[in-house]
Amino acid sequence: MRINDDCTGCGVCLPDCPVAAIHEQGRRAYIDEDECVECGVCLRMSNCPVDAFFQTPESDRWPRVLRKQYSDPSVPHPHTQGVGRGTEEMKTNDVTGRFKRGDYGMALEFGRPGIATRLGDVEKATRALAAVGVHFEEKNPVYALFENPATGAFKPEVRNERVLSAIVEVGFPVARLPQVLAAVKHVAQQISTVFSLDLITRFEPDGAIAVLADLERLGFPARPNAKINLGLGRPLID
Amino acid sequence: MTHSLHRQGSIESLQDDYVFIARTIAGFNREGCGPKLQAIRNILCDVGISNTGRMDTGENMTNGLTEAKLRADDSAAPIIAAAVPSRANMREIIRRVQAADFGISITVSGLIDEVVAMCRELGVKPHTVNLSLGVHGKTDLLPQEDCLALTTMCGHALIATNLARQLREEVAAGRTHPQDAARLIAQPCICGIFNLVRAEKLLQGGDRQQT
Repeated sequence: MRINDDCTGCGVCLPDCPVAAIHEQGRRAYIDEDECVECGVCLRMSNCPVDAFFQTPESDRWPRVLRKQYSDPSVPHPHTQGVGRGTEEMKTNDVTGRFKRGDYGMALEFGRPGIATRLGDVEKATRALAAVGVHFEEKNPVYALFENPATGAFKPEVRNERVLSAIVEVGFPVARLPQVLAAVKHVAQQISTVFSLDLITRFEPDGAIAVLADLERLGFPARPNAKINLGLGRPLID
Repeated sequence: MTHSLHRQGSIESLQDDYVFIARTIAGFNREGCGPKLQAIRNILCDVGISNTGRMDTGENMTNGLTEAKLRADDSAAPIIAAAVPSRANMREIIRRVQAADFGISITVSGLIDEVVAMCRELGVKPHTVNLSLGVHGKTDLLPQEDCLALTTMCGHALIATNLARQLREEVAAGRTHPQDAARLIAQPCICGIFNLVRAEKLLQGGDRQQT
């Protein structure tokens, strides 16, 4: 994204940027293109009185095009052909049975909330998680970044691209939870951004969430709010 | 997509903050789902929601999407997402959707104890849970918690901290009405799960007791 010479320096656009990449200099605004994640919020907000924002052809060229693909949820991702930046994860688990008893799903939502991330930081997580034997979700957009999913290595040219969020989605057997959380703890110390962490599990037949005590013991207590699939889809997989 | 999972704020303010999602899936229940989804949209309108949106047009209830448009929409979109401003409304929406037996997957984001209690009251057997295990990494980069309570209502992270902070200051100074400020902050959230009612309360009263 760029701002053309029509800019009057009114400053109205400055607060709109989710990554604070719009700056003022010499009575006009400009965008720090290295920081810009091409999310399109400044353009969609339409606050500019002279319509000075425009997208450049560079924003559609590899590897910069990744910024838009991972930051603007209104743009269908080429890997998933869907909007949003992840997968259906557990939203349809009552009919797909993707997450089974005996397994956990986990997501590391890099850059959220509101900090953004270089893809190189995301790769630190994929490498650490690959080393403890998780299964990477192939339908997730992050899978398209791999040079080698077995090691978690990304294509080298993507590492410096900056995106609003990138969600690492993995699955693993219940017994491996301590090793996976240890890897997550290690990753948290190595990165220059943040990630929000999720764990997906089935309700027990009696309605309990069995993993809560283990999470507490391992130093990752669950927050009081969650997302719950009500089991109203049909045909239901029990 | 886990964009409704990590909403922050006090237990008190989260008690009036739910996200309803209806999700179809190709090969299972998407084919011919248009009329069912339209019926769900009508239930949402009848009971009362505080926001919804359309990813394809970028509209939410602050920038062009209206109740009339919502009721007229019979498209087979893969997803309906809406912010629900109270436990009573959330419970009633679940009751009506369950009774209609659409066969479409429904998820509800909110306080675990409240959602599970609603399910128990209605005879619904919850299937799968996505737990939020917090924010990790360089957390000293995060903004103040009163801003996070607002910005995390857009899980795609499209709401700028600076925008939330500026409007919070304008409300505190009496220059902007909380309702107007909430609508301005909500604009970038194109899937419409930003809870306008909760935002207005947060802007009016603050939210010091964090989870």
